[in-house]
Amino acid sequence: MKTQLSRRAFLTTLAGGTLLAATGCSNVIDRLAQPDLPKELWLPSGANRHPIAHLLNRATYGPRPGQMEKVQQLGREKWIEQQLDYKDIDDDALDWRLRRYDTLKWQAQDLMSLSGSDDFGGGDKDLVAYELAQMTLVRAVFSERQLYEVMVGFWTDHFSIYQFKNDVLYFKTVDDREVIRPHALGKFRDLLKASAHSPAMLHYLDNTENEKSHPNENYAREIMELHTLGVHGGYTEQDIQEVARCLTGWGKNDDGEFEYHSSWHDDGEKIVLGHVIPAGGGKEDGDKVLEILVNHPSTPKFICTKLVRRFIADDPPQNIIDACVSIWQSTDGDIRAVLRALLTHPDFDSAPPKLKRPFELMASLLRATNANYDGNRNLIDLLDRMGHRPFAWATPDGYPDKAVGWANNMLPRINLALDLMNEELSGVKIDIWDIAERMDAERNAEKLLHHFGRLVLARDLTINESAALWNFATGGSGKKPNLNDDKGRDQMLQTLGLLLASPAFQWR
Amino acid sequence: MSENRIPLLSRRQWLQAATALSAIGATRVLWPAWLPRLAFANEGVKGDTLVCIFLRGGADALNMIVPFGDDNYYKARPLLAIGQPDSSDGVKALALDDFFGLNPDMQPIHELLINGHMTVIHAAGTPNVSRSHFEAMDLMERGTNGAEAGIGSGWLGRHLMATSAEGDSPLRAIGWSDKLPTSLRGYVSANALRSIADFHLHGDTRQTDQMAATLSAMYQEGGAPLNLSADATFQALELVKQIDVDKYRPANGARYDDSDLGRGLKQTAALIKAGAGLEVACVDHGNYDTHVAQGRSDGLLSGLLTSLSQNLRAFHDDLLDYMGKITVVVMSEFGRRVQENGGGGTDHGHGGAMYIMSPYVAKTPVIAQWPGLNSDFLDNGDLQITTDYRDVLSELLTNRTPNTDLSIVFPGHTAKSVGAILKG
Repeated sequence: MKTQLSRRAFLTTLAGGTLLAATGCSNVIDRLAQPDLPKELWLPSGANRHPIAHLLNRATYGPRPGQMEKVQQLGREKWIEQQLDYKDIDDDALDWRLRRYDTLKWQAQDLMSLSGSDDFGGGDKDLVAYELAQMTLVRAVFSERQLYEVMVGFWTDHFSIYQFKNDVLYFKTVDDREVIRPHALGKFRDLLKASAHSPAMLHYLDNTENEKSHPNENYAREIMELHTLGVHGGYTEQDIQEVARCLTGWGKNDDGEFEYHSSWHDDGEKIVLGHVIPAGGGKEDGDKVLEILVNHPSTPKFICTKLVRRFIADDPPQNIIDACVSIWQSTDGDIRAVLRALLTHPDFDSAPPKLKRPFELMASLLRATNANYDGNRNLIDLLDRMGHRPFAWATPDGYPDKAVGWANNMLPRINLALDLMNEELSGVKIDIWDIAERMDAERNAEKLLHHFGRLVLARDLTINESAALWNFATGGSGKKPNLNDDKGRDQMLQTLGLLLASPAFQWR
Repeated sequence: MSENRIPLLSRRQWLQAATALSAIGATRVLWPAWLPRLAFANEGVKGDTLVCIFLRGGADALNMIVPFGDDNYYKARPLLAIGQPDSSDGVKALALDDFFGLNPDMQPIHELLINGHMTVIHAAGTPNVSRSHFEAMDLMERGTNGAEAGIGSGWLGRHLMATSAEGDSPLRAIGWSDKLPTSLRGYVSANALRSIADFHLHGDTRQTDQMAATLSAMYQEGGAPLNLSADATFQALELVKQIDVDKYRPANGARYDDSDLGRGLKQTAALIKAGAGLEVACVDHGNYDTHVAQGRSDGLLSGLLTSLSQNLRAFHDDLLDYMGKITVVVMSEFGRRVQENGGGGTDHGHGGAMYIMSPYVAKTPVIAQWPGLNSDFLDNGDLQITTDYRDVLSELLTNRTPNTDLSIVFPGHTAKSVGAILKG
């Protein structure tokens, strides 16, 4: 068995090791930061996926080996509470992995100073965009604060900002850090307000162009259609114009910070969704609009529907939406309370399958195999080719969250699993034989197939799956691959690759 | 489950699974070795296959479609101007009408233009004032002039989304490049392929067929819609496996060259003939950014134009029997400055030209509301744009595809008729 430093030993090493602080030791950090696996992995059996695996598939970016037993021991409710109190979860190992991305902590002003890109859009612009996307994937794969990361992803889609529109990418790094992340599990009111003051959002949706003499209604429309009330949420074209008037002058300064330009503001009286906003309110007109939108009954309905779609089903069941709305109303839009209600709802366990989107598929593959990913750009490029690079959805509605939007691009999904098992994803390392040993299956090919199936699918393989896979493993001959020789071992790696490429692993 | 009770497929079942997948291969006797055929559910109902060629860098439309009837052209370009068709100049334009002529390096498409298989829309482009390559290409590929906010997807991506349906081929949209072209963004099933061979199953190459059979067996029980799309994918894989581009023999003596453009068009032709369900293919050509040493028959532009027109002609001849269901459009982010510069080249300009190949083009070699090259009529020294490129593309989609909602493809744009492409 390989020796691996325990988490405690790892942290001690980091604390004492100034060597590691030097650059160029990323691979050492990656190795030390890799999660420990238990000596014996728990392998759920039975015809149906274990309910804890179901929970982890929905509330995280996919179960890691060893994670199910931890949740089982702790108890589902306690685990959910722990995840909701995300700040108390130790994530030091992740933080070390993130240290390689310089631009994540920069202010907009510093990020903009990188704009010396050439005419064709190369140069440092790429660095900013890539680092944010790389960080997002690294967090999805390695953060212990999984529910938080899932919710950051949810809000990133909800308040979707296309990174590549003009200078938006310089501000999106700040938006991610100062808008989405601080409020992802907070109160919706605070999140909406932060977003409405975000230079990235105001620039992306053209409110930086919204002035009294030339009103631009883009943000005014989307804040109602996409961020709060929903398209049939009860506003009129007149309301859009009035909201746009209220938001005239909300923009940014040359340093890329929020700034209200009073000379651009339309200071007349407005009527928004039946509320009179008296003349002379200045910047507060916009603040009042946000309050009206937060308190409008369509807002919890619209957002809870999206949450239930994300966590439960493409066609969200009304009873679960209603339960969430009721909690939203009684807690003044407390996102954690709503999530608690959702994840503990009696119908949660019987939720129908949700197709993993490419980002989720990639993260879950890396997690299921305990892969070590060095955080490089190649996987981002791969996601780009699969149509799901973070922050690259062009329109403000966010990436689609229904299977039909993604299902007809199968080949890259299948190849992703095969590449992973063949160690053909650059900067990604896996050790299936270490996992095999912890499943007591390192010597027996059949056992390896079935135990690995139970590990990653949290159920027995179906007859069809095991027949197809075992036929492949044996070349149709029934002759077992010999795990003592390279050929047999490679054949089993290919077989397990096919298992990860199978339809069962495509669903959350 | 006990380990020795794993059910095995019988040898016969196994063979059945494998042959079911390669059934398409059995038709090979009827077709040339490189040419398998496969009918996707939607074949035949989707309109033309669109082939979009983007000339990167800002192609010099004035030296491609030469306004020899405009004196100001000769005044502005003492070194670079292409001679009038009836002049004694060694480098002279091939007449298209009594005002415009074709650069002699583009001779291979002269016949197509004269005989109504191609047309040119001159003084076309994006009304946005940008002379930045990046910005202008970006705007054009996104199908906006910059005023429409938040439009980051491409015009073709939105067109494909608007017309997508169950049963679409996995090879419906291809950009022949490493990265997906911006124009295809927004359609998540678009492929960025360097070659047809890129569309293959990874893993152990010695066992590709067995892997496909194994996956296919599992996906049959994979639940909708994955079972359907996986099925289409495995069929496409089988099809692609049988297309050997090296052995591909273009019809009618057509010859593609070995440029990215030539390879892209050749592979596009192979997929069209194979009935792969291809609806949109994007190919790049260039570098057209001829600031220095642009030349006439001997400079940087000459080689590009030779390659461009030779490959366009090859594509036309190769697909002669298929052209009724194909439309090719060629465009560039902008034209170049009217006045040549001091380095024997031209700088970034504004108005350019678009080229359409289809049997349904108007029987007019050049369509232009010519703004003139007199300095009074120039746009900051550049050819004015009298036709919005979106008008051309709108007409193309309306008349040659089933797309009926162009407000999604070109938001905020009300298309005007150009009269370049007719309904079939």
